[in-house]
Amino acid sequence: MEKHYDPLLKDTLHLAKLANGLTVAILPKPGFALTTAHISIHYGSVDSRFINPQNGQEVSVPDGIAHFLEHKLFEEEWGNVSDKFSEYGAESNAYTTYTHTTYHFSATQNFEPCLELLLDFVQSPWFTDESVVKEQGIIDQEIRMYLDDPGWRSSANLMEALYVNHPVRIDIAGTVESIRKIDKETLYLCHKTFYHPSNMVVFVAGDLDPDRVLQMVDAAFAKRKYSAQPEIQRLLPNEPDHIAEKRREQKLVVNQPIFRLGFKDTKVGLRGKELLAQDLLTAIIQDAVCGRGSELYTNLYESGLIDHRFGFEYTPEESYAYTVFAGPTRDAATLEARLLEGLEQARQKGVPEADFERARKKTIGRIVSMNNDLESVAYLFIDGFFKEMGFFDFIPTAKSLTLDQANERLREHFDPARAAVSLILPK
Amino acid sequence: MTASFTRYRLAEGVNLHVQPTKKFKTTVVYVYFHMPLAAEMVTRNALLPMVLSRATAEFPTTAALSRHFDELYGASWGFDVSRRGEVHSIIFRLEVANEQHIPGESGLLLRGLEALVGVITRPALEGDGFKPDYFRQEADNLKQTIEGLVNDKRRWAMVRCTEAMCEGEAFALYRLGRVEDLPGITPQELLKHHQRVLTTAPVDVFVIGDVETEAIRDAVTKALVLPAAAPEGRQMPKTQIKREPGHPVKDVEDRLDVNQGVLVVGLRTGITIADEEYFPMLVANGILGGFPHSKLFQQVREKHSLAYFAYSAVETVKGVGFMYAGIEFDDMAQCKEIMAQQLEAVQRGEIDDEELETTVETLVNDMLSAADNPNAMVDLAVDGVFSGHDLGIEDRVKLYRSVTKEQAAAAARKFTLDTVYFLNKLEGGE
Repeated sequence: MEKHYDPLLKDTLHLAKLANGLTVAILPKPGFALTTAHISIHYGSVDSRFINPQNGQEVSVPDGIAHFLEHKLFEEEWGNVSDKFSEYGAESNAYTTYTHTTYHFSATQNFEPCLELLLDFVQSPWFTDESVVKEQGIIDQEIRMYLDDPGWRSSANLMEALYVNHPVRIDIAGTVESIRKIDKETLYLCHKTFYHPSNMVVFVAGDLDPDRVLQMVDAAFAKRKYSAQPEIQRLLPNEPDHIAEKRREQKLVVNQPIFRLGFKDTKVGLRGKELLAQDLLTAIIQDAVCGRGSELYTNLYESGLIDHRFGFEYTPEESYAYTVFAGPTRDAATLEARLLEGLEQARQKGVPEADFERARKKTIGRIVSMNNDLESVAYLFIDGFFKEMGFFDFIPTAKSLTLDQANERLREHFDPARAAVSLILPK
Repeated sequence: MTASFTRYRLAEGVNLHVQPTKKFKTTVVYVYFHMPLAAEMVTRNALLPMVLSRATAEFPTTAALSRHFDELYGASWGFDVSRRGEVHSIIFRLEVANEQHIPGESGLLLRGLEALVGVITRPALEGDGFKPDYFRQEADNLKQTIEGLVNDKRRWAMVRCTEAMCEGEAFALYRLGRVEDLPGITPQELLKHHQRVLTTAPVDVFVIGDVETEAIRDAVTKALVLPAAAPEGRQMPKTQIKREPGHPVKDVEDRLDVNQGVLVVGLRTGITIADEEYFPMLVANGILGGFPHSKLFQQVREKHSLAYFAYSAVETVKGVGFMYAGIEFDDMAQCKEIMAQQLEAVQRGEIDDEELETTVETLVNDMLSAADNPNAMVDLAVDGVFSGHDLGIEDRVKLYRSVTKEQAAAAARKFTLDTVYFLNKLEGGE
């Protein structure tokens, strides 16, 4: 096992790669009552077309199947997995994103049986026609719940406006219609393809012995005797640089319009340190230009165009990336015009050094505080792992960025030709 | 293993609770002002911290104040208003990175604390009131935020059910107040309310991080300069407890243009945090609907496939509870029926060993894990303020584990249905 000590965060990360390709990461946290374990699969909602590594054939599966599979794995022939975790007094859950699926538990006792259960159930699919039908009923209600959620709708509509072909424009859960097409055979095929140790990572944090954990993970996979599997070929359609639509509008029961402005990033295909630098640089520049301390924010706020619910975020992935500015507003048209104008001015003038430094400091402080909480640490690690971002590289990378890079990034990313607006309007 | 808070009485009604720990990479500070939840001030309590957070005497614009906190390595700070029973607490929060992770920096916590106290006690003024622009903007933001409750259908349904259930009681008031009060509030009048908060509210300050208790006591004493208490002193507001509905079950329905119905069944639990049956009541709620293993989730979602979410929750200062689920409109009667049956089952003691054990161990796990999260630790300490019992984590674990099936069933028997609320689709909708 390799050990990496970080002198800033004063934590040690233990890393090992097993012969079957599984990566295991362990972060000892002395004094913590909780232990958390996550297993994450590099398989998300965008992976709906791929080459079956068994026979080399192209496969297309219904939208929403990765999320459906996540739900269904909790059912085993002997009963329900989350009930079993509850019996151990542990809390368990799972989530599916566009790019990965993660199962996790946290426990203050019975850690070892919980870890065995976690590693076992994700490797033990058990589906029946009846259980698939029952799950369709539950997910149907989940999808309907989101149909009434204006924040969710606003975000989904923006993705459709920004992307022409990329499956990130489709809801993670799929649609009421697409999930009806899911059957147990397809679920087994997706599980067999993607839930291979070479396509997974295990992350464990808590007051524990790393060698013992590694030994347990090793044993849990060794007994399954996986044969080697080549890297899975995922088929993504070609995505043009241009956006699909300038704007999307939808009416819902809301008290005022909900505004969302997105910028599609054309600088994609990055991984590792380059992607991390781009991520932090974009976050810093957003805060410098549009954060609470900025002139632009002050103007928008004091004109009553935004309130404390206004926010922004950059989402960097290898195959797609975008920035979002969002919040409720009383006057979406004016907000759009003023925000675009403010960004355009910033592009031309550049960001003052003092603002850049202030935003950098803030970013560093926030990285430190994210490392407080085991669940955030786990997310940070897993999300970074699939993008090959080093777990301890965040602060050094933030420190290495320069004002020139920031201003270049500002000009390159906030191109009004790549901007789309999504509006939720009161019914 | 689990340390507890050291408590200092800084003045009558002003208490400091400090917990030194090396587990976290930040230090967290909370300052609570406990006000009564009352019609004449609910909106003022909600508006006050919004206006205070705009600017201070030292940092007279919002941008200057934000930049100051940003310079402290992104010290995060903010406010909230909470409603527990009929106590409306105005809460200020600060979190700063521990300096050992930021080479070359010192005094971040003290500078952050000084700035936070500036927000609380030294606002930017104009004449005898708050700055009129900031006041007006925040009054408007509050209006939008209150009206924005409808954007979140589940929360909307819970708030509407509470309003109906507690009609005529202070608890019916929404945490953020009432839009109709806003036109009657002026910058001058809100400043008077500020004085009222500073001089009448009991204050609890919590500090958790890699700190020394005595040094923190000195720093907080020096920084947090409050005006002298009003003649009546700083009295913890009282909550009116109604242990039974005293009327037949009320039915309330709203109709909105929505895709999913939300059913909320309001209960009187008859038991509060100060009562002996508090722990059995929490276990009863856990068996009924607190978790995915509970009866409601198992029956409504797993067995009948009626919902994505189906839970119960209790409010422990007022003594009320809710069973709720998001469902197809046509399934309302069936879902209501299942909920009532499950409650009756718990009341009759139809609890198997596994249900009891699983619930207790899940509650114990939540309790033990609170020690890993500064916010959860503060919540537990605030529980102590409300219950008058200074219980540590280990004490609570013992109390959970001592609950028997019969005790849980007996606690559940005090639960009575009060109000059934349903968020329905528009008439004639598809």
